[in-house]
Amino acid sequence: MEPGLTLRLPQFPQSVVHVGLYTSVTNAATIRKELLSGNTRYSYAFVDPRSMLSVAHVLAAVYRALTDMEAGGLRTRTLSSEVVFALGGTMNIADTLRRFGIADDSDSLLVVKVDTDQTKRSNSVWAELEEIIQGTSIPVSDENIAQLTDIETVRKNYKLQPGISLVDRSEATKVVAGAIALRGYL
Amino acid sequence: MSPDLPKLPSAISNALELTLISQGAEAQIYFSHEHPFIPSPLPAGTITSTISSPSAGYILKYRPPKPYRHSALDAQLTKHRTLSEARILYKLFLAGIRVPSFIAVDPRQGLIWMENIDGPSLKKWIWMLEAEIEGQHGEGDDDEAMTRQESIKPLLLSVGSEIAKLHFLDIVHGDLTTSNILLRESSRTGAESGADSPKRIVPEPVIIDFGLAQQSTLPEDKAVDLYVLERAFISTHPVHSEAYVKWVLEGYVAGFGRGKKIAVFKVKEIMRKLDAVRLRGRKRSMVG
Repeated sequence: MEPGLTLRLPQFPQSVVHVGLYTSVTNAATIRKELLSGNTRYSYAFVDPRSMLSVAHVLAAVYRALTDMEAGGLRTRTLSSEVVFALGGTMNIADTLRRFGIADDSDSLLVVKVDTDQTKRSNSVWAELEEIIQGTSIPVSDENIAQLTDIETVRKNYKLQPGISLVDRSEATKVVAGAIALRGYL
Repeated sequence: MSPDLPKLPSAISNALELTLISQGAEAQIYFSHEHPFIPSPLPAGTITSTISSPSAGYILKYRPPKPYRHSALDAQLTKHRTLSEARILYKLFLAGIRVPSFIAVDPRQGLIWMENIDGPSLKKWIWMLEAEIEGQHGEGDDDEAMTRQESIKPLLLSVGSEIAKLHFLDIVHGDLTTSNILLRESSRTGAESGADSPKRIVPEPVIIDFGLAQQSTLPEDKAVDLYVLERAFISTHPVHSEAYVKWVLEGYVAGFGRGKKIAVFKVKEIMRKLDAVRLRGRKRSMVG
């Protein structure tokens, strides 16, 4: 059994998307340091799951990144960082990476890898992640993500009015997915 | 010979199975069973709360390039219009107004993804009911008017109040017709209807096609919206249009701002403008 989720977005069947979820992570600071130093082994999108609502929320960001890449409109250097950037509701790259990306004190991680040319087989992805991350892999599901969500962080990161309810996850996901799709256009 | 219909970008038509369901001057409407970024089926247990009800499917609205326009201008117009529609859809969704919920937009290619609304248009629904009522009753039957009132009035009241909610947010639709209002089965079942009456469940109206929608605070623009709808009733349901329009306006006035003081003033102003618009038609200035 694979530790994470491997899928293809219907509109981008040529790209393979890997999503992994890890708890009890102890080496977030090291990962972040390697990431900042540009170590190519670390070309994954490391997301702090506290600001994530559901699997569909993650896929909305992947979709936005792929759409922008197709149009030649990537704002960051790699597709991985673009996925993290796409999560944010603003055009500020540094701010978005700080809010949604891995922090030194992150103890859980959601990891996304998008292969546009399937050079990597999925088991090597999981093997590599196992080496990189010191933590426990758990199944990627809405239920598991929901356990890690901090609703107030989500509300703050997306600047949602108090009138907008986030209790219903499926409705809340539509709210953030819309913000992701319209980022920079509102 | 008619020229070939414009085609979707091949990257999309190769990836998804899309059915053209409507073709207008400005855009094409495609239906898809698949969500653009949520695969179906997903590995078991992955998604418990999907982003939407998958059964109704999804709509892709495509504004193809117009070959007769200069390409730079064309790209700019397409981007502008696509974005304007997407923003309004999202804004209305956030405000809790019944519209197809917005999924994604690609302004460069003129694409908007939204949820499909599974149900007949208001136009078809009234035609169906009228035929049904006429079948039940003889010519000039007194009960006929009663039946009509009972079955059609509650829906038209809610249509009016939905338009009022839209206008209260200062969004005008721009092309309000009985075909641009769809009816879907009410999501709230039972709770609101009192004792188990034999009446059919009143479906909920969903307003679609915000391609010509705009932000506007002018009572004039809102009156024109209502006027356009009134004309649509007159031309598609000529026999009883007077009653229908009356019910829609009744729902509109009652639903506008729901008792807020400022709303009462505003809606009066809109109704006054509507009288003026009726006299002179949709176009404001007749100079020329």
